[in-house]
Amino acid sequence: MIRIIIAGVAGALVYFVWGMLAWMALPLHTPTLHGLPTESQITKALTAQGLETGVYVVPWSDDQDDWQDPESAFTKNHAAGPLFSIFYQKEGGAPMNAGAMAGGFVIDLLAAMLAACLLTSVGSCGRSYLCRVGFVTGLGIFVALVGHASYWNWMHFPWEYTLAFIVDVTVGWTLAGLAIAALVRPTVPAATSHAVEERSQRVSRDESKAAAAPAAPLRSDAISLLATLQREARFIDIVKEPLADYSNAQVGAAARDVLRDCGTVLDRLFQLEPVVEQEEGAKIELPQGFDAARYRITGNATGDAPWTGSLAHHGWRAKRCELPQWSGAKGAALVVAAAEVEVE
Amino acid sequence: MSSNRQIYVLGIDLGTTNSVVAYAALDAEAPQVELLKIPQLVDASTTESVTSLASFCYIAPENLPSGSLDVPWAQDRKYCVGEFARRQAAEAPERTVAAAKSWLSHSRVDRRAPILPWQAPHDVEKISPLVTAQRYLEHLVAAWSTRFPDAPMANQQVVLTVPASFDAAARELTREAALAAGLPSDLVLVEEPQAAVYSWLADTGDAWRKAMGVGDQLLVCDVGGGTTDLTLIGIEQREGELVMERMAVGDHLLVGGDNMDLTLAHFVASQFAEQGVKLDPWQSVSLWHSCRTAKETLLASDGPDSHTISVLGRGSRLIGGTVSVEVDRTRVAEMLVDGFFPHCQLGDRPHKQRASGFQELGLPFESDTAVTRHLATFLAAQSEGAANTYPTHVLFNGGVFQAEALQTRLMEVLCDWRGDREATRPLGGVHDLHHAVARGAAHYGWIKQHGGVRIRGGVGRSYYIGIETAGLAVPGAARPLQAFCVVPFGMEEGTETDVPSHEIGLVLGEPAEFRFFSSAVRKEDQPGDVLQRWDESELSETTPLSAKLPADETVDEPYVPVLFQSRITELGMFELWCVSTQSDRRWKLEFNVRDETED
Repeated sequence: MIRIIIAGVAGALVYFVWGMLAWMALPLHTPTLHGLPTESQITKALTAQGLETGVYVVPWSDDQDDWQDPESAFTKNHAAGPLFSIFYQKEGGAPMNAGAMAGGFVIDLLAAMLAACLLTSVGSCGRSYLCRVGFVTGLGIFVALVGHASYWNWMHFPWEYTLAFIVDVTVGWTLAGLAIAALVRPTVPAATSHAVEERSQRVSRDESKAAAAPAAPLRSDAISLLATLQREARFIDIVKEPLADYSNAQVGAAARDVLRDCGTVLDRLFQLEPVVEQEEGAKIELPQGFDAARYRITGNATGDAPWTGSLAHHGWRAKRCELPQWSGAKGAALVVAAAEVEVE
Repeated sequence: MSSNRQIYVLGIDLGTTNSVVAYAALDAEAPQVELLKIPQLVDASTTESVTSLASFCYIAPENLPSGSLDVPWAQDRKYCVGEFARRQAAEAPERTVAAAKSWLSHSRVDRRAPILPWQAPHDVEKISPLVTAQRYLEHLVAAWSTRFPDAPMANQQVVLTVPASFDAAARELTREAALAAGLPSDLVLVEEPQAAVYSWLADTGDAWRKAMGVGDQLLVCDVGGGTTDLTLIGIEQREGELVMERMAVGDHLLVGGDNMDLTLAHFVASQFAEQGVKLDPWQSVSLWHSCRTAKETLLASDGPDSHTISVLGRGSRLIGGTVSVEVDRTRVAEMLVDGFFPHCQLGDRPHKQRASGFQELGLPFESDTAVTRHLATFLAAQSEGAANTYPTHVLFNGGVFQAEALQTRLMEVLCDWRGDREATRPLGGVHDLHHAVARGAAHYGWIKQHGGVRIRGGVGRSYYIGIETAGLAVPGAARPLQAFCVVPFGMEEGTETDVPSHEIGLVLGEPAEFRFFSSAVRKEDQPGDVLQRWDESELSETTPLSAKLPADETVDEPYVPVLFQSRITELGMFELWCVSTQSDRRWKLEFNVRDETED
């Protein structure tokens, strides 16, 4: 919060100073603003009408039909011109007084703080300083479009006048952005931003390697699983052996160890557990909209759920899947178990 | 964005056969201790993450394809540690370092010299026990950095465990390896049996005050893969509060679960031999593995009456080559329970084998594997002087006690000694026998910052330096040696003491060396006490201390009179200083692990 206020003050100061420059020092706005040759006559004519403070548009008609009717006086006057609007303030006041200055600054301050506030939540888009400056510039362009450009379009503001304001807010908020972006950065979880930074550094260090895209794994996880089962449990050896040659007792003696070690491997890599807690044979109710991926329905299931049935198999699911990572050469990717040679 | 703030507390169990890292967030309301998954090679080019790192180091031959031993954080290594190294111990024992931790505490070898694998052929590039320990710790540090890149281990609070029986020199070496591996310099060492108690306390919570009362004594029986560590903790009352005070620690015993598995494996191998089957080395290791399972199955409280131990055929013809023997429960119980935990009297002592004239310098494995007889010795030594030393409770630790019959037997023996079936009870509650030490260490680090029950006790041994008495030299006979006490038993961490004595002259510009002794049983000796004679079982000599005092040009005197000052740092490290009585200069004595102590 403190940072947003600091950034807001800094941004507002920059923008305010820029405003003074744009109005007083630079030939930006002054060429687009003019006095009238007979100011007193116009003033007299207006005061004679006894106007209240407000905006007056010429030509005007309160009748909506006149706006559509090509024959109405309003439409004709509008087509012939001139078109002008009067922002009428009945009571006078000191020109460029301190109150106006203060008000102007407070408005700039609120705008700059809003910009800073938005900047904190742009996520990883605001990683670099230039991106953040661009974000604030964008806010200025937004104002130029919805404010000044639309006045030009709808209210017939002269284009030089409009252009001067568009340049004013765009340049002004770019300058304010330089200050704001230096002081605020998006709040991203530390670990993520670190990882992102690290990755971007690595990419920029070695662009040629195309390290940005993760390289396809050299060995399929399936081979890694087979290799682990063979290494720790001799799984491949036992399933590849012709069973016909041996008695049940022989097979049993070997299988006991292999099965035990396979179980150890599966527990470690997958932590298998039943999908359903209940005992097999227990009565189980499936409500409407049950998770079809967790239950397989067999038997006489007519119509729609809810159904009641007995649990025939509790199912299995893996609580994790942590296979060994392989980093060997491509040529060995399909070797499940290397041949062993005992040197004499 | 790496933070300099301590975010985690880590407990590291650097074990003889397995190392474990536990950690907890420091700012949590209550410590949530988790185990670090440690990526390690399980085969060439294959990495898997598991919760323990096998403490083995495999030194690869030159012709190994490059990249086979790559780990995520290092390429083109010529060695590896962890599960793959443990497997290689079977196929290439001469290239695999095992039990480095026992070597680290073995004062009769130069622990900085490349001597491991012990008795390896000449073409194997050997490494020192110190470097081996450093490699295991470096692996743990790298595994940690991979998991927590924003919280470097050097900035965290780290607690490393050592056996209670480690002497000051072995602790110093452990610390040195740890710092070299990148652990923080404010690393805290805690004794393994105490860590096991902290783990139990964490699980039990305040209920421990109901489980034990004033005057109770807790025996921590920690039987690891290769070592047995005994500690006795007393429960006392201070200012109305129950507190734990460590009363005594046992000697370093090189007997553990591996001995039991090996015993069973020898027995089964002889059965195979009767069938005419000869096992090759690979099969022998797989047999060892099967025997561990058989031991745990048969010695469980509701174990089967018999169990089949099979050794699978070597080649791809697995079923055809499989051989099996049936072992029955009674026979195995007889062999292991009676062999390692025999019924005996409190007065019994371990059988000593007469040492042969020519003794091999390898690890000093216990010649008597009866843990109960070693326990009797330990308890008897504590009882001398203090009449009422007897454990009322036992906390078991170490994977060996997965075999419940061993727990039961130890309880029987302790009750028999007391002549009361109810005299000693095991501490209840679920206890993670394999990871308790690391978990307890993390818990200890957490309560060090947040407060909680701590075990008091200071150093578990008294320390002495040897001083040759002045007198007429007798040709051929060494001058009589006196032991000069510099640290009393139980000296607290963070204190120092001036050792009262006469001034001792140290020669400037020459190394001064002192023989160094420790005792786990002489609890009454005070600093300055001089022992003229002692029983060999009371004092054991360890690594000597030495200091080189640089010659001082401004002083004419060839020697400087000094007094000793000993200090136990906040982190539990022992330091001995020589303080000049004439100036404010002082010199620290360092353990001289390079020299062998035997002449």
